[in-house]
Amino acid sequence: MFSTLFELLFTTPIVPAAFGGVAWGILGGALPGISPSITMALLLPFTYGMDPTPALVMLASTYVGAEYGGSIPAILIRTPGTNAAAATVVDGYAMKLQGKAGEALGISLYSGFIGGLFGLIVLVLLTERLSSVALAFTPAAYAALGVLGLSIIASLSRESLVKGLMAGVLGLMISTIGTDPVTGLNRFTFDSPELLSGIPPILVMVGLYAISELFVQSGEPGWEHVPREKARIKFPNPAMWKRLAIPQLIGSVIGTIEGVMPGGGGTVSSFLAYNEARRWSKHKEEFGHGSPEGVAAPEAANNTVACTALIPMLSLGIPSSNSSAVLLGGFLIHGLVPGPLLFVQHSEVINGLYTGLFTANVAMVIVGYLMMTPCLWLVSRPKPFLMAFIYALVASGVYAIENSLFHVGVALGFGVLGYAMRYFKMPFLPMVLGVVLGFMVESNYRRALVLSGGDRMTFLQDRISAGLLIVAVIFLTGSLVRHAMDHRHARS
Amino acid sequence: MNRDFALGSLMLMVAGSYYAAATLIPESQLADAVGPQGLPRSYAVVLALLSLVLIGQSRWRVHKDEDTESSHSSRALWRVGGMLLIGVLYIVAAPWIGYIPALAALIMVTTYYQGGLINRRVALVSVSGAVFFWLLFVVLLGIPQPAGFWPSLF
Amino acid sequence: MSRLRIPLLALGLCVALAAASSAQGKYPKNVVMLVTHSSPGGGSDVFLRELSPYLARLMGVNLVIDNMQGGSGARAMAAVAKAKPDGGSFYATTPTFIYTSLLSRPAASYKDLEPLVNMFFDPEVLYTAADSRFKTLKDVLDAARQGKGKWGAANPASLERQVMERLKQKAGVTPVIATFEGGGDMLINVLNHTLDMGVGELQEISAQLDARKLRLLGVVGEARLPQFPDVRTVKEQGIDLSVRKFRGLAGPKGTSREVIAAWEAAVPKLLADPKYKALYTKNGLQPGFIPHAEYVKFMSEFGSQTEAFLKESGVIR
Repeated sequence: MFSTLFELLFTTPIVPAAFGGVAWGILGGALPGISPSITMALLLPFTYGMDPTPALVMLASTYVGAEYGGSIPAILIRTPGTNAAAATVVDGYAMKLQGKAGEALGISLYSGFIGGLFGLIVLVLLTERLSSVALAFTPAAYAALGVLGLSIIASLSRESLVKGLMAGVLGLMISTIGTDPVTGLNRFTFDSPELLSGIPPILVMVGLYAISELFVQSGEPGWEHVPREKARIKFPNPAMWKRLAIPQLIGSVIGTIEGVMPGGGGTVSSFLAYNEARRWSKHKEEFGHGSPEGVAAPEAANNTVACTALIPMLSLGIPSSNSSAVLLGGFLIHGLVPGPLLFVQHSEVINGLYTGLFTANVAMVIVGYLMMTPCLWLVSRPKPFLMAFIYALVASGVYAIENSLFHVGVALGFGVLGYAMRYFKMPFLPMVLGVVLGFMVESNYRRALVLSGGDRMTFLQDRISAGLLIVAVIFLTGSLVRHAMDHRHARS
Repeated sequence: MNRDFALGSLMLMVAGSYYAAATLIPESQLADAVGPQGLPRSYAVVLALLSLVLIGQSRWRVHKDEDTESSHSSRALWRVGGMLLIGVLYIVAAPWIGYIPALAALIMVTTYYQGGLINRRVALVSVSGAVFFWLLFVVLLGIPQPAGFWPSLF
Repeated sequence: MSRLRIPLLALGLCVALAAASSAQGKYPKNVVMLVTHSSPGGGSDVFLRELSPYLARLMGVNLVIDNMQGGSGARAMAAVAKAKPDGGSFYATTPTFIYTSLLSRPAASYKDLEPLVNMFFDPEVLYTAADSRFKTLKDVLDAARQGKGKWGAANPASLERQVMERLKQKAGVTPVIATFEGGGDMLINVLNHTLDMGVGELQEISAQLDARKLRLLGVVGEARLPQFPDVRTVKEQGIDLSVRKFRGLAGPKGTSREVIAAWEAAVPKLLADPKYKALYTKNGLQPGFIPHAEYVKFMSEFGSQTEAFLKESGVIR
């Protein structure tokens, strides 16, 4: 076993492919608007001429790199580079404001590495068993999963429950824009072809976080330098390792479950991991104000997903996310058909891919480390330049989603909305969750009802759905009780 | 009139117009029992209820949330408007003058807007920044950013 | 650096030009863009990339595949409709472009494009899980007659949905029809027995078919498939239903006779190329060359049938 792995490592160009893929992925992931799947799709044509194994390793490594890369702008400039980095923004950017950007980047990199290794181990050992989990998910179960995701809105809206819920409902409303999942009718599109496929969540995130931050900052013009910090990445020390172990484990487990389920993907897992890490933390009060655990959990989760999302893709031929769909295309173009027989007929490709993913996780640490110093230097430039370049970056990146300036305009609109929401003290995260989960909840809720002939009991008869809904109810009551207690405290 | 009351009324209006827009979605034979209007209508109702709760709260609760952030003064609001205008101008100008000039202008104007300074260094940084972004997005990533009228000249 | 690059680029282009002109010298353009709405790695993209080396050699041109995602084909259609009709750019057609034209109001619709030639048909098949209690289409229909049928189609308002709705009408049964976000999503629900039966392209389910996890119930086309001679068509099973999911090309209006003639000559040769034939047969594609004049008629018929279906079901007015 090991000798073949060594042979693979040194005889095929897996190592350069993994390094190249990771570097490309970090770059794409770090550019807001260029999602992991777009990053992979941009690379795909270049892999056609390569041998299958290095080509697939390169694509899979891109996915690994991109999931990590998204956290860099999330921490440094409050701009999630990818959907899955939205949960990292909260505590990552708070750490940056405290002058701990290098530390936050180190934690994100380290946690991504742990999550990636965890995901890889699961992928190698449990693929067959977990593929049956993917098959057990019915529309009712997916709807319940979405509801579970939405239920954390209550605990994410700390100051005012009502405003948090409002933001969540607004997010759900935004998610209804586009083609109706059952009839194919166009809803709320006002005859604009750009709106047919809906509003991509990354637009909402970039607008709410990054552009509204630019607007807020623009109130205070001046030439002073942004507080210059040690422009160096700082890896966590052993005491921090201990503290991060629990959130990383939470992130990895949630990432595993979400990765396996088609439609789950990295974004939902990041949010769930963030919320759970807070629930089980000894330092709950730090969350939202620069908690290292708040960076570790979502970053471990989305890098776990980069590996476990391959489970249904490889074993069933069913991609669970846009990114694994691009990877599936990479397989097909080389005449390889992922599915139950791939492991038997092309075990050499599978072994190569696993070896490549391991290399990619190591490469991520090395490349990530090397890219950190220039990134930190860039964000310590004088404020007017920094803001101008963030504006230019956002305008260029958001354009790339569908190569359309319309989307740049939509992102600006969400910037205005974000500015207004800050004024009214409405939290952003519930809205982001609503946008991310709205379509999944609605389409599966209605699909489940179609299949049950309109019988709502179907959500309780399906065992997975019932279990998830019970957890959601526990979450909700828990956070409502906490809200009530906080209120009493505040009054007395 | 306090802030929560304003937000509540605003959201009530959003809920109303969203509900109205939802009823305009046509009927379809392919529709399920819930229908394409079903959830949008419920969302609107929930938002309206939440707005009423917020309005209620704002009436009888003593509120201490007067503006602590300087970023929401009327002067700040004007500055935000200017920032937004720069972005809008970029969107309008890019298809005409092309990606590099529009982006260079965006960087230069934003820098001037924030720093009140325009000199050779700012101009140089802006242009080289735009070229850098062009190299990154167009050459390296192969994303066809707006070309402008330039191709028609050749 | 940049000074060095321009001559190099020009040199490269000259070589390409020379190679192209020596190969055939007939086709008016040296570089032909094939525009698709599919993202890299998506169905049409993989199809075009597999096809392009064979076609490029045959026609003596350089083929460039341009992925123009967005608006389910609206952007790609608009770009091709606006292009010069000099044989330099074509849109890779699938029924999606008809549906998008009818469902939304894109800047350019299928009527603004000139159908060029057809190349392939994607056979649509009905299938169920191998361990399902349904052995034949009749079993599924019988269950549906008792009001307990659950059928699936990959996307809302798509050709697959249309197949299922028509099947329901023609067989006089009342199953519920659920739609999904793509073939893979639906496949899971067939495999876990949530659905009695699904419909899709052979290509989408080939991995599961090879692994014997699925059973074919019928072909929704005119003829049986050579790979599965035992699977009867739906027509043979007594239901008058057949659809043809096409894969071809369309260009801007006003494409010249000689360009069209060049394609009409090249595509049958392409389909006969033994190496390419092995590849497309493995992918479950059926050769389906239709010359230009007929293809125009085919497309307008397909368009009006689809329009009728969508109007009938109230999706559009």
